[in-house]
Amino acid sequence: MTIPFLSLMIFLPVVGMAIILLMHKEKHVTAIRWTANIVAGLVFVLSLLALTAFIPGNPAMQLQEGPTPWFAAAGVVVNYHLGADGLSLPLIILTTLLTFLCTIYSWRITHRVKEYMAFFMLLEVGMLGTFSALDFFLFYVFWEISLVPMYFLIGIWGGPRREYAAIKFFIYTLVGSLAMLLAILALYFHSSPHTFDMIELARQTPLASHFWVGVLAFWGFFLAFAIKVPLFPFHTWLPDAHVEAPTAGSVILAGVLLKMGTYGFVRVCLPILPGPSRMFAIVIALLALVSIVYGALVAMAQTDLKKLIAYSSVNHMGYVMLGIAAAAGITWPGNPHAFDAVSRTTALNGAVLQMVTHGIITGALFFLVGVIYDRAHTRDLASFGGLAKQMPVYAGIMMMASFASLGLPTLAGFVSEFLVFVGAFGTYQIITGLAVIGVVLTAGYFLWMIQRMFFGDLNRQWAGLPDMDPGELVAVVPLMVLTLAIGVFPHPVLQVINTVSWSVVQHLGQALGLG
Amino acid sequence: MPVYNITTFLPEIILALLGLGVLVLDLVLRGEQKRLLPAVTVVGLAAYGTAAGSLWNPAHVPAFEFWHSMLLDNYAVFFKVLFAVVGILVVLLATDFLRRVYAYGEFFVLLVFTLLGMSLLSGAVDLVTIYLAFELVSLSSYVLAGYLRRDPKSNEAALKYFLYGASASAVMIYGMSLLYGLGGSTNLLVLADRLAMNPVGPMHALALVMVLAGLGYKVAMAPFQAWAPDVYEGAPTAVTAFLSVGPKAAGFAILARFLLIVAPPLVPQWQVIVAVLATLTMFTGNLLAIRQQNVKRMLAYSSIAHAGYMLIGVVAAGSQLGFGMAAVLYYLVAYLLMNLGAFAVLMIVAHNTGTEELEGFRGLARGSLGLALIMLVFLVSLTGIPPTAGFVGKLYVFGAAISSGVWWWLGVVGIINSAISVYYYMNIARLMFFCEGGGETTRQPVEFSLVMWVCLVGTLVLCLVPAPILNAAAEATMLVMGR
Repeated sequence: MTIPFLSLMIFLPVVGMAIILLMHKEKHVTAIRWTANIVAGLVFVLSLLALTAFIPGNPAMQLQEGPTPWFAAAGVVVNYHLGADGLSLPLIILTTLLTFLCTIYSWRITHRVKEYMAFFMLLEVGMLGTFSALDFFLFYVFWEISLVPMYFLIGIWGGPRREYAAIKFFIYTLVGSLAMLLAILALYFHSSPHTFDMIELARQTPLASHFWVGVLAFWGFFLAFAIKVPLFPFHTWLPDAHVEAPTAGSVILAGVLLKMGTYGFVRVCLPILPGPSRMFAIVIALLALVSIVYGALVAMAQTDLKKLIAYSSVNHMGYVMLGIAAAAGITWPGNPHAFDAVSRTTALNGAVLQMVTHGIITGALFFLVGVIYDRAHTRDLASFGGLAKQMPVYAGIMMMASFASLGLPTLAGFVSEFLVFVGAFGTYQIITGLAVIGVVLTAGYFLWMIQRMFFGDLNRQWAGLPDMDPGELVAVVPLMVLTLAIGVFPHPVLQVINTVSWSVVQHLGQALGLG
Repeated sequence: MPVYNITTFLPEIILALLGLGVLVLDLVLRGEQKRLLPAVTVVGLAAYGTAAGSLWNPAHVPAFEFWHSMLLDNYAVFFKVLFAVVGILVVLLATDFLRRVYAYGEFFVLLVFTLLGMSLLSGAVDLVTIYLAFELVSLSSYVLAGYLRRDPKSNEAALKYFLYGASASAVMIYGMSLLYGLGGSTNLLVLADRLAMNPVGPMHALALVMVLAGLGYKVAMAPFQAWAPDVYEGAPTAVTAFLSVGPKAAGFAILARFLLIVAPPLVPQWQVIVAVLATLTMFTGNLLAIRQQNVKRMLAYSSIAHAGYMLIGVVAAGSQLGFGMAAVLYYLVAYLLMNLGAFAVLMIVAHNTGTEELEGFRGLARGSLGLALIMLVFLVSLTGIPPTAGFVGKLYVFGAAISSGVWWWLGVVGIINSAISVYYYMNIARLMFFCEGGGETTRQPVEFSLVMWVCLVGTLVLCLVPAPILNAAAEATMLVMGR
């Protein structure tokens, strides 16, 4: 008998939430925290156990559950269908790990703990569901479920402008997902037989023969995913949301929720809408370039540490999008029939790996911002200085995370960015060449940040700041270990990703009658 | 062929007897004994619902009544059962406020007679029957809206409702007279045949628009929606809850039947008209809802917007009958549950804070997390976010628009409007969860809680297990034409 790992992982937090809601909000605060910790821990363990049932070299969907008929009514058939492949599994593990670390870190939340933990559990349900759903109905349900708790996490436990940031986040992402809903319906009604099944839709590519519907559907999905990524110019909700969100909220937002957008591009746009994806890849590539350069420049201009990291996400997610665009795009300048599967696979490998590494590194960076903010109650870079002596452990970890983020070899960020650039160069020479400027700028703003925070004279105000405590270390150190591990030996992760990238690119080529 | 058959008419007979029975009981009973009345009404309505449900006809053989003026098909049965549910929930919502007003029994009598009108309307296929049933619904509703006799707002509500309603009826009957002139019959089925034989002229369009105006008034379709906010605000909250789902559903029942039976020769014309009106209705409702401070008014405007979403399904049904109408019927059920649920929570909150303004929800989550979370489910459902019935409803309605081909753009309009509606629905969520203050809600009449829980479970179950209702809706609309 096979264990339904994915269902267990998705529904265990539901149980956790129910238990938490039944507890008393004041008398059982510690029990509530423990429940959240234990549930998130169990889900993490389950995700690791799922790995044992996973065959890395197999590009097909594994750990499949279903398709089981959910309901078939008034001519619409919906199935319960979950599965994971080399694209989703790393993201699932990233989700369970970050959620677990966040529940540990969130012991310091003392305000309305019961609601906080309940929303956190619900958030995990939405995220894991999104990455495992293989039926569009289910996908959409989970996609939307992840939206609501984050709205409350920002709005209740956030900073001074939390209400504005929360509603902005909510409206932006909801507009996107509603556009996606229309696109999903368009796919459904053009498939034959009508189906919401993502695998079957990828096989049928139902809109290949309906040019304009295909174009509209693509832009529907594009809007949903681009807002989530966020791709310039849809990124304006992100700095607000990140800056106002509580630490754990920012970690999840940057670490996981943004990946739902890029995941969507790889899971939905490339396989199901190969034609429009190829046609409009150049638009994505150009927007990615703007995101990279503009994100880096704006990050450089920040005086608020958290905003700097937030804009660095715009910058880094740009690399992911560049890799995805390069995997699909028409070779530039040039030959519409050229289809170099190897470099495209490399670009996609880089993009997917970057999703994972960005999740790990930026997750760590946001934890670290939380650490200093908890102590200093400010994130103003100008007010820091000389902290390296005062908080050596913190300084060391922060520097390591920053170096990982700016792409120093032997750390995880380097591998993924390198692959993106190598791969993307095969499709878009000029754009990729220009995008490399982003790397220089990234190095610039991180180094400048380190200098402003840790070197020079210590501001007397911070003479009494303690270094990191065990609770914080437990949350951050695992991420740093992973960063180093993937940086030095990326092979196991890449192997998992590569099989899927290769098959996505092959599928794309076949669907378009190329290569 | 029998002129009428007592069993097929049983639901209406039960309602009529129930109305008269409550009237008599109200005269006989004294003081505390009057507390029996709501119980009697609920039992009577349950009997009505059961009788109606047992008439469900799996073979789809419609039965005619009274010289073809009434039709009993699954479509009518679906609505009758729906009305029974609405009636029961509204009685439960009303009992508490009735304990505090002088006249007790009349309320139930009026409610039952309104339901009788609605029940007749669901099966009416003759212009005269439609008009009579329509007026029965309207006249009883006017009185219900003005039930708080000493409250000037309630008086204003009744008067406005009456004046608008009377004009709408006048316009409608004028349109009906034109139809009679064009087709030489008051029977919809005969009319449809005769209209189909002759070329479509401007007079057809005029007749259609006039009838639509009258029916549009009942479902608060823009530009005939102006009465709704004032009436909804002034009427007792239980009545508002009723008006926002009951007569509205009945209005949709007859609107759709009218358009789909009489108007097939005119489908391209009415689709354009209704599509434009749907767009107008959605935007009017949503844009005006944003500015409301009073929750009842806000729900009134939001109910206008929801009528707009349902009209999308009606337009789609013009192209592809079954799917579009099934979507509308499901949406009605979903809307009934989430809206009555929201009203139940509003009434609980109003009981504790003494206000129906948005301020009443401030900090609700601090004092009563459970209540706030339940309200959140209703709000999320009204917005159309899963996992709730409102989401499945929107999915089907928008799906109907897309599958009908040319009307896909209505789906886009609907989506834009859903995005607008987020703002005011989530504003309540914001007040409940983000703001401090707000004590524990201590007073919670048991009837309200009952309605709230029923609606909560319904809202969630209808998303997780939507098949029964959707299939019933699809079945019910298979023979919506009645032939």
